[in-house]
Amino acid sequence: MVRFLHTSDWQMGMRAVHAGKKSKEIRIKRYETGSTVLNLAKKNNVDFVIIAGDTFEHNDVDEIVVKKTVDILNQFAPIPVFILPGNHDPFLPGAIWDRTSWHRVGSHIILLNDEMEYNLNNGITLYPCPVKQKRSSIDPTIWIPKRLPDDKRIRIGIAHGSLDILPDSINFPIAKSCAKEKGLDYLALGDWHSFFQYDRALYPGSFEPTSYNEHDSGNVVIVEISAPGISPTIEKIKCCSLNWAEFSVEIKDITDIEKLEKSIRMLGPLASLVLRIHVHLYLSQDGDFIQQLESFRAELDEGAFYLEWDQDEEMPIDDNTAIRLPEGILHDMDESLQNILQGKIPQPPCHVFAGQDRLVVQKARNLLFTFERRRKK
Amino acid sequence: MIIETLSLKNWRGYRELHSFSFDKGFNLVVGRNEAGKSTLFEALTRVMFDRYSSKAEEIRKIQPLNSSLGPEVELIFYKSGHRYKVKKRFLQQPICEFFTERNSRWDLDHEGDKADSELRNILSGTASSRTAQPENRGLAQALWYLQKEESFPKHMWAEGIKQNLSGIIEFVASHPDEEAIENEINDLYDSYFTPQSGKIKSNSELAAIQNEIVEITEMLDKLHEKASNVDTLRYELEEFFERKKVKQQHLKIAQDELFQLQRGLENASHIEEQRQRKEYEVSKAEQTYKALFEDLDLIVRRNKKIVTLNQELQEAKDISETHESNARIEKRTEDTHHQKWKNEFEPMLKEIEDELHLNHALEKISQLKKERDIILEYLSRISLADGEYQKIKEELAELIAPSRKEWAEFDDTWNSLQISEAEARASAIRVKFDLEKGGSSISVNPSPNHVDHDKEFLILTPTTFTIDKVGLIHVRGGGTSLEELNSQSQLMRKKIDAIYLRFNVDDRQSLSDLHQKRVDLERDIKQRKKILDTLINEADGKNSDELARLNREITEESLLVRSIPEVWKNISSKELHEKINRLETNKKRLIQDIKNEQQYEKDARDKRLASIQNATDARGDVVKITSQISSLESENIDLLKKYGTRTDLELQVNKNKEIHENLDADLKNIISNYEKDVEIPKKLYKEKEQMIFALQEQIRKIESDIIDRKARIEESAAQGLYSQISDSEALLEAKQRRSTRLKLEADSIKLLHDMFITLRKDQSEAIAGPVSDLVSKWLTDLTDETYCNLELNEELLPTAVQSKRFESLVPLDCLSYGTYEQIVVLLRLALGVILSRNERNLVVIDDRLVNADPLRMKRLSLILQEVATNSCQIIVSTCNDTPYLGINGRVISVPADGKIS
Repeated sequence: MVRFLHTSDWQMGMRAVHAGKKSKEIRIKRYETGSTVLNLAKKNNVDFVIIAGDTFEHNDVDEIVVKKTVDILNQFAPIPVFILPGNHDPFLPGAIWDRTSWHRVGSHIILLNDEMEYNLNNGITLYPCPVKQKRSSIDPTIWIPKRLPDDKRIRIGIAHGSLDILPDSINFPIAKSCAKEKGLDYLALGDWHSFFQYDRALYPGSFEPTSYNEHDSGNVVIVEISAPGISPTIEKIKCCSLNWAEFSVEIKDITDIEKLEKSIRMLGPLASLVLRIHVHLYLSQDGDFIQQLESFRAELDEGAFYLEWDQDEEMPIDDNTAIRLPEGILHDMDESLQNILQGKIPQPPCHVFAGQDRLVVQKARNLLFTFERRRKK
Repeated sequence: MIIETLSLKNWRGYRELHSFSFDKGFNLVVGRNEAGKSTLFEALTRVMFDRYSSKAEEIRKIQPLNSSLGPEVELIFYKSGHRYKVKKRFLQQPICEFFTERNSRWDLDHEGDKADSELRNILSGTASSRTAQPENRGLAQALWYLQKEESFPKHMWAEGIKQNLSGIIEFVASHPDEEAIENEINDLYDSYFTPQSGKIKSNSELAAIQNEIVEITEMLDKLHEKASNVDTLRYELEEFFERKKVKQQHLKIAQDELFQLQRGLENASHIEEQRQRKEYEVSKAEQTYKALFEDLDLIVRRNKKIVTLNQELQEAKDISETHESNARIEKRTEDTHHQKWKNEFEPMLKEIEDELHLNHALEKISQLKKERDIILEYLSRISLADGEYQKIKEELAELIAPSRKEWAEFDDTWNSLQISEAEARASAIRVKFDLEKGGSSISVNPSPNHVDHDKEFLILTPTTFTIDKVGLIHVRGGGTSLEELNSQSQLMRKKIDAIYLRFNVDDRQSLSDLHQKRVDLERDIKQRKKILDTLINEADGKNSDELARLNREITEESLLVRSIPEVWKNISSKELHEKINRLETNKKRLIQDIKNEQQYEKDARDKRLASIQNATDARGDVVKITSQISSLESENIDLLKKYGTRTDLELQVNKNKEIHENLDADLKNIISNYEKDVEIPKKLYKEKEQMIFALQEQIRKIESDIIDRKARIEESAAQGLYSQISDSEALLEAKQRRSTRLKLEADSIKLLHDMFITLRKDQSEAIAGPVSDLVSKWLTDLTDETYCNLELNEELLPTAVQSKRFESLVPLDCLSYGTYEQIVVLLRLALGVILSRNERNLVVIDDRLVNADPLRMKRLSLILQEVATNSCQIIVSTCNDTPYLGINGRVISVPADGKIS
């Protein structure tokens, strides 16, 4: 029997450009998650740990990233950690693995840089498929020999690429039948950032989310194989520090605000949320409802780990509920702006503004009504 | 708004309570200067717009002189269909009360600040920190034309319209909330754009963020460039690894080939040893043969040399003898020439030179004597001339005669005397006695100066004529001038007599002769002096010293020639000269003869010495050649001692030549296969060795490059390039998002701002139209069409008037003061008409039409009447009510008409 922790796509040194000023903190968070994985490995008393590729975001990542990652990995001792180079950190001259700082790793860290059998104690054999180039259309598992009839070992394949269950898996395609055909008890995969299992092949996903569109990232799995040929027991454990979520909502009334609030609060503590929210606000509502939206936004701004709030407002045209502007110039201005939005040419002398950009006109109209609302207060 | 009554108390000249009632139409306030007309308008502005609690200096000045009572004012006015009353007291226990009439009763609505504020609201005024200025007075700014205030606001009408002339804005915009939103628009606009150019403000957040984006982009470009360099390093690194791999394969192949070549080299080594041995033997044989051959060749060459030297020896001996014979001949010739010049020519030359010397002495003595005679002659002539000169000088010294100056003075006196006497005579009394008694003597005392032939006496002085038997006749005449003339004549006569006495003469002629003599002597002295100077100059050093020197030289030369024959001394100079020439010619010839002989002697000597030298050289050659021959013969004998005879030597040479040729043939045989057996295998081995070395070097170089690239990649990683790019990109994205939002807001606010301005401009033009039309109509009537149209800009400010006469626009400041004032009044009246469509408004003109001519004043009265009747309440103040008599309305006299309550 063997129990091991399977993780992948740590993507240490990730840029996280879309997180703006928080990108650096997001990078730092990944070290915390590394420590969480360490605790999980110890807590679950695993025989070894597999990192199935993309430990690092890029072979160019800063020296400090390598040093800190090495520090975390060294803390796994005496638990052996098998690390497979992935397409982000391929085994190439000048790669991370050549770095002086990498050479500080302890003897329990085994870099799987050769396509060869690694026979461990207790009849366990690893079949690593290291990535040695950025792109390839060849199945990296192709070298793994089929199980011989008298082979009683627990055979574990480790690869980094795309299971060919989807069309157009052109970079490091891995046959979905690989585990079955090669007689592998488990195929530890990396590359996909969301959790995914296909037969005995499994992607634990990135141990920390990397973007808003990942469905189930931020996990590691504890795999237990009792004997050769027996289906492995998989335990998925959440380990991420941050939750990423993206919302695009239309706010017409107070109910919409409540719905949005509820969805966000369900994600977890605010401090762990990386949020991107796009709000399309219909201004023809009463001031209280806008006030509530602004309060919620302020709460998120203060409480969330990161908030990207993008709001556009719309003042409906010819809406009877719209705030009436005072008669005179302001009224004429609104009429002209409405005309432009409707593709008409306004009455002179405002006809000269007919060619204005719709976004600008809409925004101008919103501002006009904002001023009016403020004046009324 | 129109006013009904205005009451004052303790207000400047109005110490008691005065009330003034006003008509709803035209009101003429009349009063002399300082009567208090403007005080009414001051009270009107202060009650309407000033804070009652103000203690400003302007308010303090309202207090009557020497009074501490608070100025009080009460105003009843109509506005928007309501009748209001306001009471204010300033300074002392200030109060403000605001009443509204309801059901014919005054209700006190507000007091204090609130009353002030309410009043301002009703009148559309604005608060001021001090006393209210025109811009704080709402409509009044436009409609009241007061003393000491500008024709138009200092700021442009636009400012007045937008911010202060709220009455007009009210009329135009008809919504009071518009301004608040306009301010919001302007505030936001101003936060983005500069007011003048409408460009993005450099200190705005948008400009700052755009600059930041440029900076970050530039920085990112640099970082990406560095990252690109790292990529290049990686490509190079991979290439180096590939090359290293290939080179290592080549090295292994080369090392295998080198092992094979090493076996072939062992045979080559053996052959090489053989060749070296044979080469040594050939070399030895060749050395032996060459040594023998050289000895033989040496002997042969020496023998040939000995034969040649013997021939040269004989030739040298012959030459030596020839030169010795020549030397002896030249010696004889030399002696002959020496004897001739020494013993024959030199004594002859000595003799001639002696004779020549003596003759030269004789010639010199003769010359010296001649010079001496000349000097003596000169000295004699100078002495003579000097004697004559001294003699005349002495004569002049002894002569007492007048000088030129003295003569001139005398001559002047003489002439003056003649003139004076002539004048006296002309002035004199002529007395003639024609007595019947002839013979009567007539004596005259003093004697008359002149009596002419007619016995006519010329009387110059009082004279007494004594006539015998007749008596005395005293004649006195000539008057004073004649006496003066006589007196002058006498003085001059005395002076002349004194001169005569001094030079011892009796008359003028004698004195003139003396003077002439002196002049002659002086001229003679000058001439003599000139002659003497000429002689001295001509002598030019021919003086007694020179004479002594000549005598000395003559004596010296005479001593030389004292022993010569006497006959020589007696020959003439010419003969002496010829003799000397002859002797000189002989001397020159002899000298030339001597030189010739000496040259012949020298030539002979040179030739002799050359022959001697040649003979010596030839003898040296003989000795040298003899020695060489002897040496060569000796060397040959020594060399042949090793070999016996020359023949023996020749045999040995031939034998060794044969040995050498045999050995050389053997060596060539070895060399013919040497390249194939030895050189090629060695060359191949060496080449392979070099190739291996080069490969190893290349691999080392590649490894060095690999280390270098790895280090550089690590260095860039150590610099944090990757995270720098990440951070910069993240920052850039955030800035770009912010910039997009700000840009949208800026564009939007610009759109609102521009739209607002456009609409406001449109409105301004809409107001300007009716105002301009009205003023233009009045202006045409007023000026008899001289000016027909008033141009207003969009800010309602007049800019120019159209002149019909000149068919052009005339700027306002080019108009006469009177016309300008009238236009200002007309503009305010027109504004009043336009603003009074719904309700009458008050127009005030405080004594502003004083410069209008009677005709214009009449026309202005008509306009005032029209406006007062149809639109506005008008109050005009003036000192002179005559021009306004035609207007229907109320005349208010100040202060007398101010009804004391």
